[in-house]
Amino acid sequence: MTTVTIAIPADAVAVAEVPGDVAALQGFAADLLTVSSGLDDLATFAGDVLSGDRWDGDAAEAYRRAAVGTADAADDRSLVLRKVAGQVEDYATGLADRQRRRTDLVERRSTLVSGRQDLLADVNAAVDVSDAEIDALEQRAEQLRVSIATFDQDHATLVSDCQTADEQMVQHLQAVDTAGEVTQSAVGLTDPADALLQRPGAPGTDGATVQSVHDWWTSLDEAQQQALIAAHPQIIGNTDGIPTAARDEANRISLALDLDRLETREDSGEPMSFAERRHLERAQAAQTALDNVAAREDPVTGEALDGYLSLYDPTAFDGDGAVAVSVGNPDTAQNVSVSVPGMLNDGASIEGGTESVGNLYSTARLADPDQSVASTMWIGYDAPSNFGLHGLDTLQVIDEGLADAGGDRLADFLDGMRTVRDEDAHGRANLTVIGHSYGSTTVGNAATDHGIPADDVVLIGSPGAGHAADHATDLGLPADQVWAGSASEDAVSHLARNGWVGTGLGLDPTDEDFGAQRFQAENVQRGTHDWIWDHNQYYEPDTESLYNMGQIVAGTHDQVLTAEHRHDPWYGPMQDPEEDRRPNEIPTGFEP
Amino acid sequence: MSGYWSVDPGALITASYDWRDHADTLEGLSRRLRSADVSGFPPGVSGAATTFRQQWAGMVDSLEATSRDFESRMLDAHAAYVDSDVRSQEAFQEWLLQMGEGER
Repeated sequence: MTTVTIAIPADAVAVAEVPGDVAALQGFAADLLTVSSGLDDLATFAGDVLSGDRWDGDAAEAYRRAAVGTADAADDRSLVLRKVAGQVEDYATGLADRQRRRTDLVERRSTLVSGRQDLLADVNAAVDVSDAEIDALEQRAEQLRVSIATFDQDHATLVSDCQTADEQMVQHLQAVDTAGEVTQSAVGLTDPADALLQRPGAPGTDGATVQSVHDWWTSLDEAQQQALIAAHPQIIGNTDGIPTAARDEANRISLALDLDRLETREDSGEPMSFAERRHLERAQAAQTALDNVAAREDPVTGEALDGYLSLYDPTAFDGDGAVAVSVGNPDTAQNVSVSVPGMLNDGASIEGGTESVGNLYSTARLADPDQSVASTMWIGYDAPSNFGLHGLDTLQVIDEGLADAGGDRLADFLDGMRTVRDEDAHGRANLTVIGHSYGSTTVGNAATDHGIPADDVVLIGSPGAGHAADHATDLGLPADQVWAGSASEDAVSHLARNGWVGTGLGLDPTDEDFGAQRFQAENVQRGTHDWIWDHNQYYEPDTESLYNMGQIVAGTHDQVLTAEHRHDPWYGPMQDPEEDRRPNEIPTGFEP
Repeated sequence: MSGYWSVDPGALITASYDWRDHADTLEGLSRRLRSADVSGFPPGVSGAATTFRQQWAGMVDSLEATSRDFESRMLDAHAAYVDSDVRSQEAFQEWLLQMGEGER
């Protein structure tokens, strides 16, 4: 018997850890960018302290000179910190890549280890084997040796890349961690943001449109976009035509700066003005709304949800505030909804509004678990909301003035959503626009006066579908894509122009003459609370209305539970067949 | 220097409030920096990141101190001008009243 020796290579080296937390690093970079933005604000202010003041002469000039040093220091620090924020972001991106490579190596090594064990077992078992079988074993050993050598090389490259990246990051951080180094490092750095805003098509330039803004934005490189987000977060965050992720990043900076300033003031115990208190209240509501989204889980995957602050202007509309929060990314989701609230909603209402669209998100996800969803609560118009000393715009609920202006803004917002979407990558969104209460009048006016790019329109608790909508098709959609839901005991929905009494907000979309599809929206507790209660239950879990809106948003229209229409003759009171139907509790299948 | 030294007390108080707003923001930003999460960095980087964070919080603090200085100096100057105006007015008023009494 002849003994043949087959050399089996040693095991592949153990895969080294690639420590680090990408999400935490992105949070750190966001903090640095926020600080950079606050320093930029200071630089702008201190660099032009006489702006707007009726102050000149030697004293004014002395003041200006005294402030210039602060402006320069703030500007240097802002620009350097913005650069470091970008470096941290790049490091995080690289780390994510290295961690993916490590995962691949772990899998490859597992394959190699089991292949080696198999070979070892086969060699040990090889007694009285042919020359061909010996050749085969030797070939396997050679292939294994080559594979392990390649693996070891790839692993060494990964380790080296980690070391290089870490060393570079340390160098970046240590290069600018004293005031002197920052001043030196800022030499030659310029802020491109202001010049970029002068380019044709940019926000605020003559003739700028949603499309021109988008074209302008996509013509910029990443560094230019970051510069604009840091230097002009209010503009980037609130301009239609900018993608949602960028708007969110910019608005979170504005929000953080507001909270940093106003909570510091509050903590100091110094008196705050009424305007400052309202501002803080709106900022805190937006932060709470975002925190609540992050605490929710997708009902299908169980993963944490992403929130997007796609509008944030707490001083808009004389301090009522404008704000929009999306649950899920509307630029990439397949089924997208935008909800427009009505009377008594302002910037401080976003916490409850976001909970509503969170419920809608979950219901639509469960209606079609294979389709992604994004649901937005848009408080981007001046809804009638004020009583008392700080305004009386609630009185305007009796006419359509605010709904007209809101329709204009809503149409732009929706156009922006369509424009920024990369349909080659994500397909066309199935877009549903939902108006509640006075918001349904706003949606109606947006559709009739401007045209909106919606696939479906839903009007709930509507006091009227707007001045120009005599029929569902006037909203620019086939009648079977216009939906209406009103609880029979919803007093606000009785205010439409039909019949012998009513306001001037338009026709009742649940009336048979209007031609929309009416869906069931009764509540099992109907009539057990005050007169307004039934008006505010449409987004509540386990209700007919939420279930049906979820089906509409998901495009599962055959699952919608339809209802008989109302009839409101001129000679008598409204007749609503839903009054006689026993309401159902429909489990929507998620924990709010 | 032109020798034309004019101060608008209204502009002083507005400027003081503006500096206060920025100082409050900077105080909040400093707090944000000090509590910024650097745990995402691996051990080889986290030391430098911690130092960086502390150093930058200090740089923001120094700008806050400058802003507070502007705030209080403008406020003090405003108060001094107002006080001076009031004293001048009172002194003049008192003199006028005395003169009026003399006439009677």
